[in-house]
Amino acid sequence: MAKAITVYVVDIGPHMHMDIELVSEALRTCFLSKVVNRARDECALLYFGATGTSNAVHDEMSAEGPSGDYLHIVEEHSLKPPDQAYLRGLEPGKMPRGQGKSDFVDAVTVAADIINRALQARPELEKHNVSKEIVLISNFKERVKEEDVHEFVAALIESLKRPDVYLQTVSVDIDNQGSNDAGQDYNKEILDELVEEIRHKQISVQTPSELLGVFKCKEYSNTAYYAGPFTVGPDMNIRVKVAKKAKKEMLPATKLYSDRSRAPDATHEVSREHEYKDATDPDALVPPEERQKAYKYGKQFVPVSADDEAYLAYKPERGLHLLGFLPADDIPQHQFLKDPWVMVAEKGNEKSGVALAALVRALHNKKRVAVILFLPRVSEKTGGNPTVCAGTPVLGSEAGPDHLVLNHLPFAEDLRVAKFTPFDEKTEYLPSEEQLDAMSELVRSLDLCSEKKELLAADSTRNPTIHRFYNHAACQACGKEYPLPEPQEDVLVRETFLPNDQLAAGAKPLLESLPRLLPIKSREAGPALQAVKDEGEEEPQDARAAAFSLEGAAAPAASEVGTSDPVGDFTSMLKHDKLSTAFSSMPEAVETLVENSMGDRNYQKAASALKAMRAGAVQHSRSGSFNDTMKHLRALLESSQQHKNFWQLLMAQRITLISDDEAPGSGISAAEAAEFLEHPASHAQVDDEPAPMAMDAEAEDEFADMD
Amino acid sequence: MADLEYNPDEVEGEEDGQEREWLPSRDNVVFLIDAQAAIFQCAGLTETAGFTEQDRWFDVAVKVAREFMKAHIISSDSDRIAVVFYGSRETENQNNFSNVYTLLDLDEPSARSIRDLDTIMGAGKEFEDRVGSAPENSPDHLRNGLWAASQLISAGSSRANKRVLIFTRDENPAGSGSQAESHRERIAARAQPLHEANVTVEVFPLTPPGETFGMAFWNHIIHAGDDEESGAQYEEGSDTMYRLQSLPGFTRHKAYRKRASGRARLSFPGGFQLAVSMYSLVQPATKGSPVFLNAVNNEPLKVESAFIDQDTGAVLTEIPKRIFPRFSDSRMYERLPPIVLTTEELRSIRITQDPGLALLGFKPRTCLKPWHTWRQSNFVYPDERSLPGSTTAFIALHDAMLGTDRVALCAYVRSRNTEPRLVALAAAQELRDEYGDQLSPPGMHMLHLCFADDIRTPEVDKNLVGTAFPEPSKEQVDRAEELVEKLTIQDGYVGMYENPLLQRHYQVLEALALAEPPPEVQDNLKPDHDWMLSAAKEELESFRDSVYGANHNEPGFGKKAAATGKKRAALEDDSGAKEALQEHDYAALAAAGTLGKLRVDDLKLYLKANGLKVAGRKDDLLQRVTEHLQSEEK
Repeated sequence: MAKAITVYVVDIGPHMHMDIELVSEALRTCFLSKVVNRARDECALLYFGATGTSNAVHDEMSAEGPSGDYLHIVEEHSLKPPDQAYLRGLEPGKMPRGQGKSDFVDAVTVAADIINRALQARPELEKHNVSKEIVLISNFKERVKEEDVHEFVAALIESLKRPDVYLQTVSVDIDNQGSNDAGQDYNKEILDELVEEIRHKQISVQTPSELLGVFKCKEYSNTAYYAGPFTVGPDMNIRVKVAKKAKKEMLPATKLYSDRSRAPDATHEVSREHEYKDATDPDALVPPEERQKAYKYGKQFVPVSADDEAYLAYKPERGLHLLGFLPADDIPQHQFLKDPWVMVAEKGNEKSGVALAALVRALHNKKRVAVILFLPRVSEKTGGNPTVCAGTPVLGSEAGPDHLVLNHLPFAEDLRVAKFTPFDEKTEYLPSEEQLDAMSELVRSLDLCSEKKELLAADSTRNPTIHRFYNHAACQACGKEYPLPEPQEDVLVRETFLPNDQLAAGAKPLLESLPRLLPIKSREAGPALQAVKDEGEEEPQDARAAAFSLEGAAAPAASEVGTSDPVGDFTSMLKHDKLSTAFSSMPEAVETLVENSMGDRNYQKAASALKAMRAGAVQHSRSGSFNDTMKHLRALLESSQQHKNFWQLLMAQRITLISDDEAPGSGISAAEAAEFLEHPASHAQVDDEPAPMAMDAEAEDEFADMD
Repeated sequence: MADLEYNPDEVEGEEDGQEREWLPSRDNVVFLIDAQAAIFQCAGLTETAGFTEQDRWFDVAVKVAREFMKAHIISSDSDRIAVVFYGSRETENQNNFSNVYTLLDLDEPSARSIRDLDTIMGAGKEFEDRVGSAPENSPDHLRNGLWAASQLISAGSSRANKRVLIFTRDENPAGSGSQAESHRERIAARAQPLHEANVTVEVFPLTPPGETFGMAFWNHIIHAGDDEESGAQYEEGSDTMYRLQSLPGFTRHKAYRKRASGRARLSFPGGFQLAVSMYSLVQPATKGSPVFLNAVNNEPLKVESAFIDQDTGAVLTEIPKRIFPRFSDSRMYERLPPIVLTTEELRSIRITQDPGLALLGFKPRTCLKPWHTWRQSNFVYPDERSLPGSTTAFIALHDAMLGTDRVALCAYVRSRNTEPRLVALAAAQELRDEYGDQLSPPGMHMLHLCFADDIRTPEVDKNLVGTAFPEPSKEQVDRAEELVEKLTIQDGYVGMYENPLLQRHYQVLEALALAEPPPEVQDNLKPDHDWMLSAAKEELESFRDSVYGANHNEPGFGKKAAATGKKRAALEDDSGAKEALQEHDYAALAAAGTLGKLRVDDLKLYLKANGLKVAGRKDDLLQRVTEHLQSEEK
């Protein structure tokens, strides 16, 4: 397995103080990710611009006599696999603000020294699959000492080149407005001189979100999923490798945890178990030997034995074959399925390298794509999963060769071609010249690529959700409680999912003219979405969390309706005349019960709670409050995938709005109340719902042995 | 098993990228096939895929029905399909309409129903014995047929999309006598209730290519109501075979009814909103997950899953908390003690937002690269019903984006439980084929974009690609261009291949269902070498020779255990081994610490030559070689 040793060289000098919390957050999530995902990787953390001095190079020189070199550089953590101590030092507010003066050339020299010492001490790190990296984070405002600088840099390059160090520089240019002072310009010159001859990557970050997202949430080794021939006709093979180019990154894995048991030796483990029950007799458990595996064929279930299953499997020869070429325009991107792959020539294979490069350039020149049959792996038991891919040519660069990006194309079975009315069929819908002009103007002005730099580019925009997870976990790992920032205060969320303020401000007159130019009628019936939104604005997310405790059992006397005994809480509160709290906290309890319900386990409880609330509302003339709750619930269930069935339970129990007949003044007729339940949300058809077990075996298989 | 792992998406009830996006709804389709004498003429369709020379028009119609059923079994198995003959000798249907024979009642297709269709067609006497043709043609046959069809189809679910497909060779069932007009009226009167019940009626004239078929009578039946959904207008002489093949099961899958997979508001900065609906026009078909039956009665079992507290054995009624990280090696917890995350915490990490599409801005279409999407796209079309006025605003936006060749970037939240993602809306113009049929609809495609965390960079990883990248010469690129030109597939299109995995699965399953021996399944998904050689034999050779030199080819897998076959052979052969050993100076490499750059095979060569063990991982081999070299030095 590949491994990386990395020295993080971080500027904490006076110029950096403004952005230090952002740097701290980026490093925090980076180290956490290293522990979780790359346990063998080792990291050292070096601060420069620090107040004190603590580094091996300085110590060595001082050993020979007092030295003024390499001052204000602190080796905070020596090279080892990072652990909780790394995170503790990067707790919010904890990262030191240095007052010292030291420049990046000195700092990188110390970093190179750390790497070279490690290689000397542990020759196994020399291996080519151990990547040696230095990450330099600075705004390059501290002017490099000019004396003998070129000799210094030349020596530094030598010490970086021998172990083949990869140098990544992150230049922090937030609030810089693009104007460098003379010192910075000089420093950048020196930096260019330094990186020219070594493998490097220079990143400049201009916004807080770019700085926060400077490290990937998870680094993958790029292993080949397929290595072998790519056949071009019957008599030609090109030796290639295929590796994954993109795959949706999920939130990191966690383990189920239960604190039911208070025993000191409790394992807190939770298992997930499946019970197979006879559909006609819900209490009868069916033992494994009476279970028969089957596949659906039309309306039939066809029992399949293990032998049958082997025969069902598609077992072609594995391989990678050219089927032909198509004009690139015939394969629009919206036809692509699943995630893309990269096909490169075998490393060090001159002939295959030339062949693939020639093909890639020919495709590029001719504006064609290759149609490729990809059969990466075929198992004896389960067979193989064939795909037809479009191979789009991508020209190489200094860092990488010419290659093809492979995208899955749909098979005939995957296409659902439906007809839609052409826009010009009904002339009354066609926009006027004025409307068209306004929209064109808007498209031009809300330009995400206006200032050379592309905003929200896929290759550099981090997933705020995953970053939030890591940052939250890293903060918690420091041992203190750090509340999660509200999404709207989360820099990454704001910069990624909300419109850019500057852009929107630029287009403000246009945006404001839209409702007048393109009148859109709002339906009175009130779309569910609107309802959800309004309610949401009144009640911020965490108010709900604060209003009651999920651990209802631990809650003392009913000051609010909890989820463990909502009916009890509610009635006791009515008795004690706490009407408003009772009616205001009950809806939240019901909602939480439903949302947290595993399948339908909490439904009965939630329905009884609603019933109790309904009775209470009739009795205490609070029908409005109950009816609002029902409407909100309906809107909620409509947009919820898994709890639609709760509405059916309400239908079955006839829990609906309170009508004027029951409590005068509700403003709802009996008919309206009855009709209320017959809402689209109730039409969830059971046969279209995935079985609780439903899992796409193929999708799982396909990537099972990746990474 | 994956579902034991924590995956918040899964716990929240969805499988990312794989979710079925249909709103619940199904198709009910009645095949109404004319059984009068004319349909038993030989069709003579030799050139057409799927039919044989002997096929009569009757066989053509039944085959179409069969393939339609098969395609529906694979793609949407809750659809119901019926097959009814009109103008039959025998009468068999629920209402006893004379000369109407219901072969298959409206039901989900099964292996048995497909077998029924197989036996009814072909040279056997099955049809003649069971159904037969009515002795003489009569306008009443069609009238009763339509009546029977409307009875059948109205029995189905009210929420289904309903269609009656009529197959006939008869241009004018009303006849041409003095009664013609009244016959036509009476037949049309039977079509009327179908239209009122929102049933689409389509006619498939069975005429050889090139012959015309007068649609005067039939247009009356088809357009007794207004087909607002498709707006299909069939002119006289429309191409039969083309239309037959446009039914699912044949080369082009065209006849699925559109089903919205969701609705959303597209909001502009500042609050302007329009309504759109989303459709899944591309949805990877899978063979479906297996289910478990009760072996005693072959009824499907209900599966319930539960979280069990391992300490107390109690069934948990709420979603359990989580600990992070999940290490398989518990010693790792010494490096990082676990933290406990509550369901509430996880929910607020996941940024729950209101569902919808929020416009963020526009960028040139060229900013989208082929590696920027991670799942299939959705199709977006204005939803006038939810917010009147949306269509005009949508068209204006659509045209503006096409005019500037830009795409719209939006934040997309599918439902309250899904995390927000970025998507790009790409406007697409309507495309029609030479017959005026819609090939791709006007609207926008919603492309689901990757974040940087999803994108990997294997193409610049020196461990995978190395550091030296050979340059092809101009001559080599020219040869490649000639090859590309010659091997460009004419009339190629997306979806031209069938998935052999699914075809095999369902063919074998069909046989199993009928307790028949499994069929030999043909695999058509292979490179077509015959075509390649006939189209570009010279170009293939000259490209290969230009990059490889004459008479050279790079190795393939070879036979069993292919990749290393050659080298293994070399190992066996002593002289070859010695030669190969000379290729590398092991001692020098070891001294430079770069022994690891050698391939496993080269290391094994050394070990074997020195009588050492060759088993183990590369690290072990390296160790052994190093040790041996060191001992040699001493």
